[in-house]
Amino acid sequence: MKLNKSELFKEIYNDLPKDPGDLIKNSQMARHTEVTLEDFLETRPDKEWEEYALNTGADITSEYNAQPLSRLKINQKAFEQFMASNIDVCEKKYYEKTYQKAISELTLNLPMQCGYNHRNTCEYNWGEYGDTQEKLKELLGGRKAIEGLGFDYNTASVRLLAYLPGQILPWHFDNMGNWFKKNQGLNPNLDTMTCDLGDIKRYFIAITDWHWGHVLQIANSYFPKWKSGEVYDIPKGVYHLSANIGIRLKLTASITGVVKEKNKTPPV
Amino acid sequence: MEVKKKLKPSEINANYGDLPQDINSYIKDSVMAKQPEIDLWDFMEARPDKLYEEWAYEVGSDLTTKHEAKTFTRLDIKEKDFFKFMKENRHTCQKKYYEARPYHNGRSELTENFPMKVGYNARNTVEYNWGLYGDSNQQVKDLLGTRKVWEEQIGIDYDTALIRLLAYMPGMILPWHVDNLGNWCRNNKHLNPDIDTQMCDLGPIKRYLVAITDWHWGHVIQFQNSYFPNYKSGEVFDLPIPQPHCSANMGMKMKVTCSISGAKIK
Repeated sequence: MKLNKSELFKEIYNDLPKDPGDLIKNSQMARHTEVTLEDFLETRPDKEWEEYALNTGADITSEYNAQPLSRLKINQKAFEQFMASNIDVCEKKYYEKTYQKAISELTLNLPMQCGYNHRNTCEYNWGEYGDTQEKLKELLGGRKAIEGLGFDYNTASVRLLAYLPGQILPWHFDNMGNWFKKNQGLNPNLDTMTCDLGDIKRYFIAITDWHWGHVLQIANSYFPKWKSGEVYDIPKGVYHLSANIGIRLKLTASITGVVKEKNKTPPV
Repeated sequence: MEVKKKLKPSEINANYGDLPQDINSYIKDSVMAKQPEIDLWDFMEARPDKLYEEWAYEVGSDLTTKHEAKTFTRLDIKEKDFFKFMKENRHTCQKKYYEARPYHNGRSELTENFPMKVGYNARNTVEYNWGLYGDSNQQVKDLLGTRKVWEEQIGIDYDTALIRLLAYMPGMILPWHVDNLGNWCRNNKHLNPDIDTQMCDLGPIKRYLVAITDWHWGHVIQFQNSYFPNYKSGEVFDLPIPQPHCSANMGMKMKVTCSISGAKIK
């Protein structure tokens, strides 16, 4: 049975905790005991998650051929410096329900039941706390770069994501919950991924070059080996996952927002 | 990155010692299980990736070599039989984390402790495997096929073949490494194995991979700089030695594969 995404996600996300440290302090996942092979084989928690995924658009055959849309000039060192000097406004979290609402793999607690835990889903991100949003926009090239990609600058939302070796972002589709919450005045629609200003998009920007074990799977295909600065579209509603099963740090960014104009910065 | 010295497989981790008799010792005595979290700030300060990467180049890694994995045969196996075996043979299951084991030596990523230093831990590298303890090697061999299947379809000497049935739960990773067939070489010293030339008295020493479960979302095998195709249960692939690779289950279903180490006779 195919489920209607806007029905599942009709509830608006809760506010973020004021203190980003609360996400770890109050984590359920950090206290969850190990799911062993015996537990898994006995209870088969994968069945419910697979059914949910199939009912919300995943399949086992669709392919996706990712191609860069553009390439921004990225100063990788500047991003590293930004990270090191913005520890207090970093959102560190695990793949569990926190401020999310709606009916999703997180609110149903499916990843934790299948074996995901606080030592394999740790994400460090910036963009929600302090002045990191504006700083990140500047690091990406400011108004010129972001508008050059076609985004409405003022409503564009950037997240910088750092994944250490051994960390996974499990199978999900993007519902842009935080962006929808902040931009309710634009009447965003999750089914059509449009709002009063135009199409709602999420782009992926590679900050570090691809390296061994930096994996991004969209639908049933793997992303190519990206170069720092390359920009890719994350197709709306399509399931994907990513992980760092390598050696080096994996740094990426996302821009979520309204694409009002054509991309003026084709791939370099 | 400049490669200081290319390591031969025999220098990496080939001359294995004896297995611990207590199958639970891998968890009981685990250093990794007691290792505190490496956070982003530790990582950025200490940059433990540099030494791991340097070692990776020494064992033949680069950022350009591709590997086109192709199945060369498909076995008629029943996934259900393997799950039944796993449930009934908990006592011969080696559960372990990605850390040095008592029988390891040489200059490997494990003896140098690189994975732990970059953030791998006891909650993201759990492997359950069978083949080393009790009669599990024989039982799984039988599940893969009769002696005739081994000799004619798989083409590996039946009597000396060593299998490992590997179960990876969602969220578990086998980090970047090269295979050195240390357990097989130790068990078959009478065949004069030479891991550098990958030869023994019976012929070439090989490692194959058999998919037990169908590929599913997040079941990834990266070999050199290429990804394995979305495989089907029963498909058999060659894993050329010693080429770097990694794998993980970042999906939701169990990922079950089987490796075969042995002498190629056909």
